[in-house]
Amino acid sequence: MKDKLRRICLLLMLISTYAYASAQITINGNVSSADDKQPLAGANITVKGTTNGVVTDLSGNFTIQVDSQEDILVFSYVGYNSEEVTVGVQTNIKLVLVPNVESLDEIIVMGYNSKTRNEITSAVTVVSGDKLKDVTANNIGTMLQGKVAGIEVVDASGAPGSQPDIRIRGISSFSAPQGPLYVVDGIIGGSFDPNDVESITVLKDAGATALYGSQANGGVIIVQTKTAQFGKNKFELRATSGIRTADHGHVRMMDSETLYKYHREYFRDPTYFVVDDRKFLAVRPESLKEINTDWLAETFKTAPVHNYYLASSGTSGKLRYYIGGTYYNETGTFINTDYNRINARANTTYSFTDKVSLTNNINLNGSKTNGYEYMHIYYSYVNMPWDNPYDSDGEARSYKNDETIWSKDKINPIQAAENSEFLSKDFSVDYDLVLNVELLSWLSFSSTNRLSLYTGSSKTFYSKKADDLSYTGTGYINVTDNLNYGGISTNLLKFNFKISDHRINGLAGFETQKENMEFNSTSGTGIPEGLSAPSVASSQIEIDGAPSTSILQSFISQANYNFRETYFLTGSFRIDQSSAFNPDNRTAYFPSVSAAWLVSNEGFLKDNKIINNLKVKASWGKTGMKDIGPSMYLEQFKYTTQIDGQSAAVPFQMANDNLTWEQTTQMNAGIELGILSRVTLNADFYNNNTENLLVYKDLPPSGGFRKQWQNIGQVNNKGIDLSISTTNIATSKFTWTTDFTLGVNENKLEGFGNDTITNANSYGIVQIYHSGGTLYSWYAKEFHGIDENDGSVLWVAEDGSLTKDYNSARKIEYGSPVPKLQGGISTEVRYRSVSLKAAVSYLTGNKIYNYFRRYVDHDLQDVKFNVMEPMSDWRIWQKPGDAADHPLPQNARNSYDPSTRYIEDGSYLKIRNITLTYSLPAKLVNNLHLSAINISLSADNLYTFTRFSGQDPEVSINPANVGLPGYAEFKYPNNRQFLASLNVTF
Amino acid sequence: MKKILIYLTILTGALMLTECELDVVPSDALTSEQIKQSPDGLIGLVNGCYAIFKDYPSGESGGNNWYLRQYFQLSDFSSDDIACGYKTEDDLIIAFRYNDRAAEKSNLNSFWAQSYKVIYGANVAINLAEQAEENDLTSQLMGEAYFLRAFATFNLVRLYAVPYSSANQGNPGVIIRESSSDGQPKARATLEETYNYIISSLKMATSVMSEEIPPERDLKGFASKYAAWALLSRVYLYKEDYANSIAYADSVIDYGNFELESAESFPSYFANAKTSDETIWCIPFITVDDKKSGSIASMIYNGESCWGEEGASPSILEDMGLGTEMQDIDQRWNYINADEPDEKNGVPLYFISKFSGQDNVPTLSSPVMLRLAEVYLNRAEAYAKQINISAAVEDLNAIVENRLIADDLTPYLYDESEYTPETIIDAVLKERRIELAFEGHRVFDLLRNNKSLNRVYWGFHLDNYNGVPDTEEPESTEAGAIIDFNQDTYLYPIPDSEISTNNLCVQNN
Repeated sequence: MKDKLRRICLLLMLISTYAYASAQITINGNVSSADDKQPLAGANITVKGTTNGVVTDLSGNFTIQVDSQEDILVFSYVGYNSEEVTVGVQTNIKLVLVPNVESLDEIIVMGYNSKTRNEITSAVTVVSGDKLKDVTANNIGTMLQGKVAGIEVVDASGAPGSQPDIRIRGISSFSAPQGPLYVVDGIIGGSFDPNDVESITVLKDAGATALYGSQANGGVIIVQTKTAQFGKNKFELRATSGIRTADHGHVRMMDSETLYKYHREYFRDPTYFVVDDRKFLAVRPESLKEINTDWLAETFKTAPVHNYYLASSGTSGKLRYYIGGTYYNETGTFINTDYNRINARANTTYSFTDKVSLTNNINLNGSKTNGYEYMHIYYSYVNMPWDNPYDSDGEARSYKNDETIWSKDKINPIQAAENSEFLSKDFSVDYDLVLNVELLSWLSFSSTNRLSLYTGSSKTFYSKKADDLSYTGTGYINVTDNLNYGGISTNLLKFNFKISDHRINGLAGFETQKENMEFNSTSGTGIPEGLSAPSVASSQIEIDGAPSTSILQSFISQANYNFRETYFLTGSFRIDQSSAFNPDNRTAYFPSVSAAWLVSNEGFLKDNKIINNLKVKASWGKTGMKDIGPSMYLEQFKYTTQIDGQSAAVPFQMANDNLTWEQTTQMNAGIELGILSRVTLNADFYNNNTENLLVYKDLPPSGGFRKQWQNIGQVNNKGIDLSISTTNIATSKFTWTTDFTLGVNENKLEGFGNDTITNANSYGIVQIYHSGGTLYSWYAKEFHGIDENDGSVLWVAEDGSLTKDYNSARKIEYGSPVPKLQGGISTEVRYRSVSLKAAVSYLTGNKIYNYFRRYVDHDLQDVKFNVMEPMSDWRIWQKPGDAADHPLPQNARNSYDPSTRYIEDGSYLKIRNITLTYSLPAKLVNNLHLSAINISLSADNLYTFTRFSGQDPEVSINPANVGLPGYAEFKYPNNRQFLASLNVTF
Repeated sequence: MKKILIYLTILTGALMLTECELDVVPSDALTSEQIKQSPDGLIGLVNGCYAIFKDYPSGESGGNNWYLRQYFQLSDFSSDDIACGYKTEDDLIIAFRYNDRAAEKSNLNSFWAQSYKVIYGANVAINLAEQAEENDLTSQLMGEAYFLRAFATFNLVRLYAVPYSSANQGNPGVIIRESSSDGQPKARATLEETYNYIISSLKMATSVMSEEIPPERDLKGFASKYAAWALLSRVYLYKEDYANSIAYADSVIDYGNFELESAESFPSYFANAKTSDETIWCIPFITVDDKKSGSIASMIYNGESCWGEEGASPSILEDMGLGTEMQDIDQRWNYINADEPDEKNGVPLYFISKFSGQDNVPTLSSPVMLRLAEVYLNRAEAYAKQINISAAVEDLNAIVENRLIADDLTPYLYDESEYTPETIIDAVLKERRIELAFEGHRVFDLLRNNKSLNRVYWGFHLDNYNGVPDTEEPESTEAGAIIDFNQDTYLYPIPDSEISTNNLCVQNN
């Protein structure tokens, strides 16, 4: 394989060096544009077959010397059709170039190449920058929510700077990360600011994604950043400001009085069911009610958010440029949290000649996050309302060593947050260098390269006076520095022929990716008051750090054929070699074929008034997944500990030489229909089969390991993506449009034989996999209800009878957190210069394990935790005959242990966004020498309709975050957001 | 122009040809191939087995689940030595509450998994040692590995299986793992087989280790031939093989360089266990190992980073002579804060300091796994079982003489003439209770001797205690007060993580 790679490389080099190889007649002339009749500055004029060339001046004038009258002059300008003119007897040539409309309007960026909309043979959704802009966020995921059929976007945290999880077309893996692959400006990976985005292309099927091989199981999101529009210099300024509030969902914690009343139930006798008020009052004096702390109100505040964006773009001669800068500042709703980010991007392309261009893109990103400690959020919910957070001076006080404190851990989250720091600083640079050379009229070479650098530093600090379980009195500091650097180089030969009605184009080449990840971490305790640097730590000093490397080498090829722009056929083939696997399993092959028939280009439909577009398409292909981390196939003994100061090695994982790629075979069939130019409908049906699932399988712990990476079984994802866009009303003054997206997904596990695989977290909450099952199915002891006679918990035993013994309860499968249906609806109404947009997203068919309730709906099994206000339909058992769903506290044994009791329906409908925009009248704007001014007001995440009783049914589905997807604990609440925005272009 | 292009093309072409080496190995771990070659391989692996006892499991950087915390809590919190002042959400509560023991509990699962990780590591080490060049050090390391797998297996069989007796030796013990390639689902061995495996591993340890400890390993933190003998005396005692128990106790007492702490030095013993002549083997902690709020001390002591929710029970305090002159005479009272008992939810809490004080840190100690006093007391119990009253009394007095300070010790010594063949065992058990208090012995002493567990005092070990005592003492009929060990429902369940992945492994009743 290596030798083959090398030989093809050499051949490629030879071809690319081969292609470069001059009377004296003076010719003058002028070049102008056909659309606005304006002169074109910087147009290229070359003598065909030579390197003799000039460019036009600012007035579009040029002068060139030619050898003979037979010479042919080639006029070219980016974005315009090239023209060839034979000199003949002319000495003055005035030429009008026609804009290349196709390239401006219909080009869809596909990553390694671009295609016209007609040429697309696979499931692809394009979202323009304009459609993204309604939502203000620091990430593209939140902006895509509900806008693309078949994409699930989950805001698993509302923390400042947090990124959502994105899943395209369901979930095809158990444990592996399965977010989409980002391709920025044609290169895998990279960072960008949402404001700099020109368009997003979501590749959903293997017809398109197989070209990305082993990185594409989660789909591909192609991000194109802005470039200059030809001939125009443009400035844009956008300023957005607003406020955010925390969204606690249905959760209201009990106030002092309510909790007091509930605690009385704890003194209800387990046999006679009467409350012993003497005992109750003895240990819960009425005076408790005198303090009524609303912890959530004290720790979550309304917070400001600001976003400023300034950009300039334009062309000058052979140069095109775009410069964009963003400043984003978000204060968190939770005390002492915020996020600041600055992003700068400069995209420039210099065309040496019409055949050779060089693009330099650079993106700089710096951010600073004041994060939070999970436990501080936890305390904000569970701390008792009977404790006062402030001292007589109104300062947050320490709870340590105060015997009067009710709250279990004796930690005042306000005091703790004020005396601790969770700061991270991140800086990244991406530099792209792209060389395009047209070697022959049909052959070009492109070398696309990126160097990336990420460096970050995070600091965790507890002052010694901070309330903490471990660090009060000693303090603690940890500083971790990360350095990731790497590069990717893609070198492709691209060809393009057109012979009468046949057109063939394609590409072939090689790609190498290498990433190095390093971290160094230092921590220690014994921090003197007032200082917070690692150097001052006096005790328990620890050092961590281990670099790692990952390498991927690939061969890439693709061929596209079309006949009369009506019949389209595409084939692609990629070979990947990854360092993540054993040498024998290192290479994988990713083929694909796809075809489309543009029915509306056929004669019989060509001039049809009703159907303006009809296309049917189908694709088949393979993608893979390799991201399980390096060296997971090797037996390892980690030297990361010590005994009595001597180095020690602990068995870390067992060998699995057979560990290999997770591969998905994908099929897609779709239809695109446009009616009356008013309605467009896209429907795609898919059937994806992922084999060799990478399962972090539970092993019998008695063998020495609790888990191991193995390839087991397969998962089938079938579904429909449907999107309908309609222009309901379109007059010059009034328009109303609607977009509707729907994704239906069904997944099924196969090929497990008689194996039943479970995956448990440390609390004993289990998900189960077996043939015929669904992904992530909960497997839990069956909760029946509350015994009407004594208020105890009833479980269902193996034989179906009821039992009070938790240990003999049977385990059943109880739904999965993967939604069966999801989508969004958005609509826009525009009257003159006012527009109103609204967007909702929804999903249903999922079950969430609401472990949050173990801490806040615990039947007083732990009396030092506050309790949430019961939902309207919950009843607490008090006397024989009560039909209740909450037990008598004294008979609540095992009520909060893992069972189906806390597994809830996670369906929801969220009002994601409402935006009102007003465009100032053109006359007024022009008087100000500006081209447009827009003012808008928006509200995000306005309301969630759900029966889920926890904080938020948006629960992380990323196994890397939570161990078990769909498992809800305490989350940094999502935000409601109210913004005002001003957008000026000139 | 042309040249530039050619250069650029060549450059990119050259970039492409840069071949990458795809064999990547981790930077913080040795692979199985590397560890065989490395001079730090075998010694690192054996050291790693010890480290498992004191570290959080891989992937956990905090919390409550680590081997020794479970080792002490799962045993002592289920005995009559500890009173529980708070019904915590921490899974440690199931040690007190026999009715709440569910197979899903994280402490049960973690202890089980970490035990077998020690056994796995030991098995890999034995294999490496067999292939290594034979010398004093490799023999010693091999012996340590045999010892460690026996120790871990023994602790499992104590917690997850019924106590050994000639009548129930066919009952299920635990799963035996004899080599690192033995990781498939497997049935539990019988009690007899389990004990035989433990004993044969310990005998292998004694046969390969020398009485002359190689200098590199001559630390209290590493097991030795003497540690293997001491553990054999314990295991044989549990196996009702009293002659062997006595024989191995003899070996330790006669050939080992160990010495009981004196009554004067005993109060500072546990804070300095790593250097004491009484220690046969301890798990050595250094400052970075301090688990703070997740430490062993945290639950039973009241200091910085301590929860202080449990304390010495009224039952053991009575045996120690609370309110009598014994509080001054018996130096073992130094480990109990009797002067200022705390109180939580109606439960008086006498805090315990056996796991505190190393480097003056309240949550730091090097927990003692084997010490000379226990060996004396193993022998005393074996003599008592053999009705050798005088020999039993002599061993008991060897302890008492080194723990009490009085002008005249005579009234406090055991007098052979006061005991009958029936009562001598109670004297031994009482002395074991006081001397070895909170060190993970009491509940097994009761089980081994068919004594029921009597916890007629207030605390959350009672099923329905609500934090307010009604009377001086609870009724003995309160659920959870008296546990009859003749029913085997008191056992911890085999962890769910094993049952659900190993269909050959049977659950306890």
